[in-house]
Amino acid sequence: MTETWIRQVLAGDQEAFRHLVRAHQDRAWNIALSVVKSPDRAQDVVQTAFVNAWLKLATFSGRVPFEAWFYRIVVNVAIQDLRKRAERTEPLTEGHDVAQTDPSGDEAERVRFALVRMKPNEALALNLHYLDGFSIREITTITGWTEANAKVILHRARESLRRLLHAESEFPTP
Amino acid sequence: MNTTPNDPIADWMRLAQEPMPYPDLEAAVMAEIATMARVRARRRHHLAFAWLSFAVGMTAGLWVAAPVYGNLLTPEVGTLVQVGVSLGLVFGFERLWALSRVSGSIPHR
Repeated sequence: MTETWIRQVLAGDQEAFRHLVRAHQDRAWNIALSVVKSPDRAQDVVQTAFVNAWLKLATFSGRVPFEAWFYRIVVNVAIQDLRKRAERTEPLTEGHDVAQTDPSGDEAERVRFALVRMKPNEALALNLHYLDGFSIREITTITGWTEANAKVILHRARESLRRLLHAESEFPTP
Repeated sequence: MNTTPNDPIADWMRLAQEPMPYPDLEAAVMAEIATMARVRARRRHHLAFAWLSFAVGMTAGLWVAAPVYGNLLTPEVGTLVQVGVSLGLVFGFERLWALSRVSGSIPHR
């Protein structure tokens, strides 16, 4: 179906892009959130990524799945956003964003709080592998990491998440 | 996917997943794309007119010069050719200038 929508967009049917937005916005937002840590910034990242994807759609060759191609754009835009914030010496995790997640809340809130406190690349690796089901090889396509690097980051991410969840309390595994 | 069914990390991640809380994102993306499509169309329009102006100018110059090709270097014919080519260049550059203004108006968020 995705291929059909892409063909329609390239043929000039602008409205067909709406289907691509609907199909990928939730996953893209979760990926962006894992990197930029702020819901509002994640929204901006996803919006910019969709526009960039629309502008570059003619260059999509189909050698990799559209999801991998598009999520690479999302990751690149999110990293650019992080760099801009670093240049402005803004903290990586803004106070109001972290405060939105209550560490004393339910299990889901605790996991979200832990993900916010994790390094962006580790949270991104967990998101891509566990939520989007991408293999290590696909993660390297999306992030530009080497295969060995992706494995190391994913391993460290698992350890970080376990450590963060067990650090505050005896958080029972689901 | 390389996760086992009882992998606690996978369970935690599924638990933490949340739907995107911005229902207007789709509309915002489509609006921005519509704007950029209009800008693209205007750029194509201006570019087409720029090339057309160049072509008309050059053709006019050559058309005037062609019947008296043998005397192309006479001052009168040379002036006509120059006028034709100059008009083409003036209109062409005017369209390119308009094009650059359109390019500058591409919205950057």
